[in-house]
Amino acid sequence: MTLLSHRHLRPLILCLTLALAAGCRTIAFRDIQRDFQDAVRADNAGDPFSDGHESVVATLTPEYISALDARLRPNAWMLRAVSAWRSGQYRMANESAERGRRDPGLVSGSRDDVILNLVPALAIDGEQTARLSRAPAALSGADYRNYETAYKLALQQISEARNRFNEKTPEDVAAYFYYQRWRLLQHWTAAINRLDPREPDAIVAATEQARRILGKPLDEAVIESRDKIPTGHPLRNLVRAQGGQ
Amino acid sequence: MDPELVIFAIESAVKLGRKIYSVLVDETAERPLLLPIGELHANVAQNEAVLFFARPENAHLIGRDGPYFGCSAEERLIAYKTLLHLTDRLDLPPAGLRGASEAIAQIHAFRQLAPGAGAKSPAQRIIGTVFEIGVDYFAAHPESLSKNSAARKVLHSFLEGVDETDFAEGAPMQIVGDVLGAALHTVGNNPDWTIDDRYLAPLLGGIASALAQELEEAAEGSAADQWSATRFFERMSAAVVRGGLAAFNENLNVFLPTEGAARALVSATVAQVLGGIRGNEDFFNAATLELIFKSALGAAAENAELFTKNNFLQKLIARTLEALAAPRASELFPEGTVGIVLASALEVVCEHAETLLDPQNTQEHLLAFVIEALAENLGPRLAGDTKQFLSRRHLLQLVRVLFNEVASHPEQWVDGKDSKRTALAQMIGSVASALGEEPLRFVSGATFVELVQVLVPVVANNAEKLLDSDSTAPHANVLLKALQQIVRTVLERGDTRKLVTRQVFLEIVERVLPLVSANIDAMAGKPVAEGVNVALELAEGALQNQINGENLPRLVEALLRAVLAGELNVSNLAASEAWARQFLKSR
Repeated sequence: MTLLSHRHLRPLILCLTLALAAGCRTIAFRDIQRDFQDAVRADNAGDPFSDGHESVVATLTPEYISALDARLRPNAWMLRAVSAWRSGQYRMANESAERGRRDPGLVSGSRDDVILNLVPALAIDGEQTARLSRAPAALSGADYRNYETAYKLALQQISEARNRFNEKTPEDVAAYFYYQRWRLLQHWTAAINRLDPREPDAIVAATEQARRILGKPLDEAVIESRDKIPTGHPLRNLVRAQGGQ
Repeated sequence: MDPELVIFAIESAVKLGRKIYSVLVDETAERPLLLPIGELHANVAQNEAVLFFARPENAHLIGRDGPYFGCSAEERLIAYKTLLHLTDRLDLPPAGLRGASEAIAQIHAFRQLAPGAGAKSPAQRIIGTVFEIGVDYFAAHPESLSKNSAARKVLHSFLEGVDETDFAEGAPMQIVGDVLGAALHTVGNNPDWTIDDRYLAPLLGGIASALAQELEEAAEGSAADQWSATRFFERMSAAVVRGGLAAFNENLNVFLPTEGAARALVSATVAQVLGGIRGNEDFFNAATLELIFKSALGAAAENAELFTKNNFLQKLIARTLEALAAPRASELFPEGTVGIVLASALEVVCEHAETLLDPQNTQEHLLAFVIEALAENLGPRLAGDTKQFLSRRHLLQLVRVLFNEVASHPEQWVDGKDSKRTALAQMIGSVASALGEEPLRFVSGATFVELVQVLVPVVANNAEKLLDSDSTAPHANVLLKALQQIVRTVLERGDTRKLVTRQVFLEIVERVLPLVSANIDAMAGKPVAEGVNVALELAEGALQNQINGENLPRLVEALLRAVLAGELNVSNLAASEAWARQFLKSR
């Protein structure tokens, strides 16, 4: 074999090597998708010992994602953002969601698009519920205002996710969005519920402020989100099972 | 979707082709995924209460002068319930927690894009699964990569088959992948099989689509139902594939006019078999389901129209299983035999289609009557432990004998009556009762089956006189009386020479019973007992050197003939001896 022929062969070998590497990475990414699903299963089942989400975050580093086929990157960012949210790494969740939203390969209205826009609201909600669980039994009006500010921001962000809906958005994903909105509004109401009962004016003021932010009474907004989930959908059944009719 | 492309993709585990790589990436990007639900850190009822009291029209209730001022969240909830009399509405459903976990279990993977916005063909939707299964298989069996290997044909046919299938949007595609895996392993494990390539695609496509549809329908039930259906299909899909391939390996296709008919037949058979066993899945393991599916496909192929139009197959399976699941039947038929009995029923249906598949009057209940007749009459009437002398093998032989007989002459054996009054039930009850307290003295498992085979034609030819179908008990049956006379005479005399072995008993019955059938009036007395008694008397006395087990049955028959013809009075022993000497000499 001559040097010339070697020179001709090199690009071919390089191409084959690259194709092999890209193919292997795609197959490996399918395994990460499977790991993510396993983490979600454990999460939804309430398994306190699962560290599946942490593992997904650790594997799907920005470097790993950038080496993937361009069409897979938005999905990879979505997995990383969701796993970061679920493992309490809220800053990383926001950063990952942000990078995913900016990815040119993201299909408008797709599941990944909606979720990447939803994650910041979910991260805020996660932070607030954690903070509320550590707070004193009765909140003062001043304490509550921090929650209100956070939920106002979360509501704005959740509207962004709603704005991503289009004809490509699966009904299931819309149901998931409304379930998360319903859950978020429940948490906001729970914060109002923690206001000192000896400050009834603060309770009334809080709900009035919520009405202004939402454009409608908070209880109506809760019902609206609930009713947007189709009857018979597993998420609607879940709402019902949790006492939400 | 070009199947060759996908095959090429699998071969390209080493050098992945560009085009198929692109398809794989698209499928991976669009892969449905589960999503986390997130915890609910709130009490929904308490939230409703606080929002109720915070309304401007209700705020005075929690104001400084209001009745609920300073109330905790829990107290406010109680007040809210009391005020609105909504206790029932607000209470969590009684099974709240269970409901929540069921609802979570029902949540399936979320699609990337709305239907129609993503990948179009079923093959594209499962390309990732096909790819993974294919890579695993060919990595373990590199020899199968040769151009004309059976595995390549299977893969090709599978992709053709599923691509022609109109899967519902929500169809669980993993089960479709399972079909491919099972098909590859089945052909790999059976290199001698020769299956007409033209029928592979309809077979695999038909099975995949039917299983996906069944699983999708199961998903409409409760989470528990869905879970158990999924596990069942995961366990059984391979069995269905193996059964189907085995049936086609035995040239099932010769009965099918077109390849299109094969697809419809396969789908309908899968659906009807699964529909028929629904609720009784625990009776089946992979081996029995494989056998049933193979038998069902064989039976259905020969009578496709009747099977598929009337749901006959499903009804037959369901009715037969209903009979097998009844308490007495489950005592008689041990675990593991149910599937074989059902497979036997299907084969008999195939052999007797003309009597069982009358479109005006299908007879799906007939074979169930056999099981009910055995369960109600054999175990309860036979002394001792039935299982002690009737092994599984003999029980299954007996069932097959009776299935065949009933399918050949349904009008003789069941005749539209309830299962307890049929000639079949009466015959089995008579045999079991007649054998007395020591059935093993007269029959073994094998000779019991032979005894029934001996009785069947005699009874079928004169059931009206030999049996009393007006009663559910067999005690008035001439058949019972005749058998009892033999058994009791032997037991009462003692048979000191032990001439009446099980085989000799069987031969005596075989020779005596036709005579009884032709002389019903004489059974008012005890001619059979008299004949047997005098024969044994002579065998133990004056003719002990002339009578043995070999000629005893013939002597009993001859004596009975002489008695019935009025030629001999057996109470005269000397005359009987002279008659017997003459008879034995002439032989």
